[in-house]
Amino acid sequence: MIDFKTHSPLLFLTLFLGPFLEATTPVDFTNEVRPILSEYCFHCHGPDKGKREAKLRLDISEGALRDLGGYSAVIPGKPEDSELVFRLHSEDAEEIMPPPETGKTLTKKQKRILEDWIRQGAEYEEHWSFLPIDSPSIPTKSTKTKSKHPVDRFLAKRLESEAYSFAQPTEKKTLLRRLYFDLLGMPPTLKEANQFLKDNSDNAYDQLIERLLSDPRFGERMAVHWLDLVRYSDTIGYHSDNFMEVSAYRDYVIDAFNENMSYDQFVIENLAGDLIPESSKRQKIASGYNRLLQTTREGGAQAAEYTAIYQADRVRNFGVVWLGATTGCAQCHDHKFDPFTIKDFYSLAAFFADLQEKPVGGRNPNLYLPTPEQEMKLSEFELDKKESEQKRNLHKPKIQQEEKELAKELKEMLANFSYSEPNRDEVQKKERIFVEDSAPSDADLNGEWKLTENPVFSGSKSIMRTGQGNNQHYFINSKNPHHIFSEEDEFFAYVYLDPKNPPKQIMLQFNDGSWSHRAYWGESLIPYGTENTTSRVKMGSLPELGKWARLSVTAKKIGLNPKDTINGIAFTQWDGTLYWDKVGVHTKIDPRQDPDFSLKKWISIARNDKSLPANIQTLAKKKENDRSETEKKSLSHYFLNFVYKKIPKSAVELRKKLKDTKSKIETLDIAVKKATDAINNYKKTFRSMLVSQTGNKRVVRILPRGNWLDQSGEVVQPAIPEFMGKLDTKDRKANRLDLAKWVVSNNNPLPARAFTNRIWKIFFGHGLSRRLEDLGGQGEPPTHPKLLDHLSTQFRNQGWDIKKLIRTLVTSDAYKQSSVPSEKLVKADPLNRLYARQSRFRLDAEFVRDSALSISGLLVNDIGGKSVKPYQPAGYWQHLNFPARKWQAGKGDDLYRRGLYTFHCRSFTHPAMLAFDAPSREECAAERPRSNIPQQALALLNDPVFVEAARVFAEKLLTHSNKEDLAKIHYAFQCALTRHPTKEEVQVMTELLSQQRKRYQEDEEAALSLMKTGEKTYNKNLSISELAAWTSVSRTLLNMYETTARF
Amino acid sequence: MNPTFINRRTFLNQATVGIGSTALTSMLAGNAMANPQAWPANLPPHAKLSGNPKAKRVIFLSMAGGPSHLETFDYKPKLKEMDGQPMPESVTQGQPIAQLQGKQLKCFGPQLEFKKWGKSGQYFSTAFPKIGGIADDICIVRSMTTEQINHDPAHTYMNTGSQISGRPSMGSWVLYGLGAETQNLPGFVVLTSVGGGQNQPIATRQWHSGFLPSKYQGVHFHSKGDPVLYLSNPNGVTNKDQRSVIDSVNQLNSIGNKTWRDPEISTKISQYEMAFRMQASVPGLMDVSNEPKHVLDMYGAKPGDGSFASNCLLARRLAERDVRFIHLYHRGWDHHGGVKNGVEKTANLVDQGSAALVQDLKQRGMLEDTLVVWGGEFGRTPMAQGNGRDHHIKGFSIWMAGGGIKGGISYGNTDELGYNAEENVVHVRDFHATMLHQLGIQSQFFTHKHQGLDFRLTGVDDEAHVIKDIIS
Repeated sequence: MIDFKTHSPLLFLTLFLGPFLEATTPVDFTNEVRPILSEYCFHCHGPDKGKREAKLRLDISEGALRDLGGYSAVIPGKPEDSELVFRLHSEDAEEIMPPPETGKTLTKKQKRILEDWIRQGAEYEEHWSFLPIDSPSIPTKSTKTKSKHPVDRFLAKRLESEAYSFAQPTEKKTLLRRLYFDLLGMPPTLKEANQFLKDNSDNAYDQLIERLLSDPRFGERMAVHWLDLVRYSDTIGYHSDNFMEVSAYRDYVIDAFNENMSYDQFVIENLAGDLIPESSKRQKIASGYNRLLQTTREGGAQAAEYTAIYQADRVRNFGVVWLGATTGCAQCHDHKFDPFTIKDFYSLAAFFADLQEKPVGGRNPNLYLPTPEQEMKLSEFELDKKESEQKRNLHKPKIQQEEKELAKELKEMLANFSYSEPNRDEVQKKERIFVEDSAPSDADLNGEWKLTENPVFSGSKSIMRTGQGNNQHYFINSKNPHHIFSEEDEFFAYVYLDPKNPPKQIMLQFNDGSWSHRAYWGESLIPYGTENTTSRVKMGSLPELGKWARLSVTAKKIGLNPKDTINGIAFTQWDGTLYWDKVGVHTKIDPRQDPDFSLKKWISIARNDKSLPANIQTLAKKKENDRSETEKKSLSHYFLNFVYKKIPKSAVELRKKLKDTKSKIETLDIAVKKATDAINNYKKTFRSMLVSQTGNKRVVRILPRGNWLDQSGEVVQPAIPEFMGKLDTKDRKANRLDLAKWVVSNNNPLPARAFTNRIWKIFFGHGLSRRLEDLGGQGEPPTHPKLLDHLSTQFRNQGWDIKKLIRTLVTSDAYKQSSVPSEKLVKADPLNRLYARQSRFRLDAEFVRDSALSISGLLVNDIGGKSVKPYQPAGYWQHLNFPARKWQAGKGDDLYRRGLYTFHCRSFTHPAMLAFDAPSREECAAERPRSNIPQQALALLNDPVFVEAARVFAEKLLTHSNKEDLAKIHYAFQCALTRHPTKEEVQVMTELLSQQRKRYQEDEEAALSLMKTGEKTYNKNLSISELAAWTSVSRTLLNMYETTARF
Repeated sequence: MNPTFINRRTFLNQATVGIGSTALTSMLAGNAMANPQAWPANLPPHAKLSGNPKAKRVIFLSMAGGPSHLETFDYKPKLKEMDGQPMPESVTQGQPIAQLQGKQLKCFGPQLEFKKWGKSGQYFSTAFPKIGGIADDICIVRSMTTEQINHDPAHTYMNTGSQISGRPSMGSWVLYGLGAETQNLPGFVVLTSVGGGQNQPIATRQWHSGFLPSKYQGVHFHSKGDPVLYLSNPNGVTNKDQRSVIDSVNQLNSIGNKTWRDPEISTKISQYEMAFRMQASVPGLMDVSNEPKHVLDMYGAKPGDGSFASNCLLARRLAERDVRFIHLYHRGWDHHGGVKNGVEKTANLVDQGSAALVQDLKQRGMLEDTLVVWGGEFGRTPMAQGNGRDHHIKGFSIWMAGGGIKGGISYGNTDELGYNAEENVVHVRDFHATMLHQLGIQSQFFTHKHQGLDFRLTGVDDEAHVIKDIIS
């Protein structure tokens, strides 16, 4: 590290006094000075105490002015005495700042700015976005606009010093399209267009605004932007990326925008809807926000690690979405540019520590959303349950009394029975069962064990499995493993193959510490083991379909011998549907190893047998020496009474009677359980949702450097970032609801600014502060801070009214001006920072799709519901696994829904959406890039949905009343672009049409196959070659930039 | 959006304004630069040349699933000696463990034979007879470490330098820094092969451009169906028909742009041209049946089989066409059980293709400026998991060839049990820094601003070191 003081101030004076010249205009700290300090200095001299060099911090005045031992970095009014300035100019590699190894150097102009700022007094301003929002007065006079609209006035004020002014108002039809795209996400239909274009009244535009704001498509349009922020998706994200049902959240967002829910209410419901007293179902759905993050089901993933990953994810998302603040760097150390500390980060995480979730594994829905019909049927099921409970309560006590008496009798009968451990020479044959009517209770299970009652081979249930490709369920780590007695041991299982959908291959795999003993039947597709070894033994062809068959294999055949122990079996298949039943082994058994004959052996397994009474299991778990005599007796009594096979005949009969009464009780219990299961199974057919569920709070500690293995950090309680104040919750610990209320409280300036800035972007092309995700030090100060503050205060003070905010924006002249810039303006303001024109940009991915569907007439505009699957290239999901799956496109209406309803897969986002920059939604995306890549051309040209839209559009043109080509071309342009074509454009289209007409007249077969693209049938009354030729025309229109852009 | 990025894009757009629809320069993820030695004016903020770029492109052979270093490139006789004995607790205490959590940890000796290969006498597994033949061309790094122990995050870490989703992949970074020189092809191509057993999922995030613009995204070429998504014309539409539609689209866009003067529209026009050229050229590129028989035999490739061998051959063809970053995935290395047979089987699927690729590049004089990398997202435990091995991040092996990397050497070592990398430890970051260095990029200065931070492939804060000793 460099010692900060190594030179003589005198020398410095003589060197640098010369060049200092007075600045004429005051330097602006926020816009000019702070960005320089932030970019070049704060990394080592900023808020992060952990990395602070030379104990100097330059982000606050006290730090900069601090006496460093006779000198200071900054001496107000005296740049020539300020160490900072000296360091900027030093030519000594040891002294110069920033140090050469950063690769950063200040320009002359930047150095001048810092010097001027010091000379003018080195005044610090708090970072603009953290300052309270005041309500700036609206500029009164303007030479640039006659409009009294506050937006125009603020923008005009900034334009006063420029040579140019606002652009002309745009054409009425362009304005119309602009408003449709901005508010609804699709162009107007011809009818909708005419309603406005033919209305010459003064308030036509205002009425249009009101029409669109109350159109339900408005909520859908706004939701697209919102869902990017909260990283909404239909899949869990990590590794196997399985489905999760959260679509109700999407619908909640649509409804909230359509109903114009106030933003503060929306914030509270999202973060803590579940904690609102007597919260409604809808508020609980809103709290699903906390469950939208990426999660994992990867085997071997560690719970503690993923708990850390999730809490960090939540804090990152919380920061960007609600505050417009990047908190991510504070996961490992104090933020380098903003005053967020690592403690703040974990204190925020502590707000979310009450959320109940399994860190690794499947996510079960915790809110069901039945339809009214479903609700009715459910109440029938509930009635059944009630009846069975009543029946049980009526009969059970009597039978229990009977049972008690029988048990007493049996006990007395065996009171004097003497028992001794058996000998090995009593070895006998035995059938041992692993699976019957339920999954093993003493082993770890994997994959779904789906019990079913039809067909069944023995007992009351079989296990059904259906799947594609390689799929299986298994048990492992059995607490009562099978010790191979001899190579003659014969494993068996009963199987029933569904004749309608048989598997191609079935396989049994046996685990003796590893899965390396396998037997299979049928084809060779399952990729385990090596052919012609005991790791993969072919047993023959598949058994007959539609019948129960017994599969068996000897230990010898699959390389098992008496020293091996089997602790698990896997049931594997390739494709198809089948049922497994009764799985076991024919073996011989040394009675000393047989729990039916040996007390010792029985005790050894009883400790893991959950079917035993709890007290017996507890006793069995004790070490032999720790058991008292009474306890030993209890165990041996239980054994003799209920387990031991060599007892007198009379006792056997009593035991049977006892068993009968037991099974009577069981029958009553089972009826209740069945009724309960029926309810639960029925619920599974409901639409469901993952919502926030509060519960015991996890302990949250600071993880030094974000390392989850490091448990040395301080334990923290829920708290807002320290520099923003403190929550007053009296003696109570703060919770999510407190956090949510703080977010929208008057002393938090961030959310109103963040939200307003993002809404502004939708209507003007980019934010007033350009970085929508970061209003902090590394973002960009707003181009029009007073305008942003004006809008933010209005928004906040007038009830967080979103539609009102939007109305304000779209009624301004600035919104209505043309997007065509003069050449001079493009040069002067290439990025359109001063809004002397409207912005022009390509539509978001979803709206590209929506527009094509709407223009063609294919669009099915139902609101909400589960996500749907339109066409997607075959095989696009081939790299997903656990389980392997295929995208199965929906049918009928599902194919023509708006883009926001397309099933969103994080690993493999729909490729047409991806091409148009739809984010994968793994992290918060406040802003989508607007790229311009050939994949977009390929999708628009070749994705079946766009081809289908084009041919349906062609049908519309052909059935248009006017038979003339020219009229149809005009009609086509009006439908797609809300305008008539120019002569030049007509010429292009006419040429294309006549060439394509000729071509398809000569090849009607080609025309026919083009008409078969997509599911919709074509109109057979129309000439096929005409349809095809006009399809080329409409494809051309749908591919035009103007069709996919907002002007 | 980052201002630098906008400048960059504006530059690109302006470069194509007025060129019209015929003579367009490289568009897909491209910029106007043709010579990587001459750094373009529109650099990322602090990017600097290292002065002497050796490689122009990278071919990354990604061995997905985590190959066992102990059966491939890292021979541990001591582990053999201790086979069956408990793993010393001093080694495993407090270490992250995946599926072996809470299980007894026992040493598991190497399951395959090792031998000396080539003049250099590099010592590695007999499972790689063909790679044995290029032993003198490759540099084995035996001291890799990473930070993520599960597949998905570990891949993400290897490919983006972070576990957190949404960061650009290394191919995207490289393309962002150097641009593309291709005329008809994307600058970053991804190929995945079939065969090998377990199929760990691979997500598009592994080649995503993250917060960099989408044009730097890897384009996945498929061996079945359309080689590039939406590449084929609709049914009943010939290339000529497609051409007519594209011409009409471009004419209409040009007519409009006389008024609008929008560089985005000029770019759009050129993208339609690019799309058409891809439609024309990619199917031919992907069809390797016109390769001479001896070349097919050298790789062990059968046209259209989608195998790793075929993808290696495709990688060479892509390299010849100046694709900047070619990323091959081969799955099947996740040997929790049966590591002996498993490694043999998967090695057999990748051995010939990997070796042929290096040889073929060499005989064509392209190995000098092509960096070939072979390796997985992590290694495997010296402890047994049945007769397999669990995930392991504290030490594993990769190899590199060409692109200015010394051949016939090994670098770094793990401890005697193959657990911890202890000599010349190479973190994933160091590997990234070295790769970028060979391409002429100083990783430390190669940044992109996002969410308020200067992001690097090698991390925001951490130091990354170029492995000087392996550079020729």
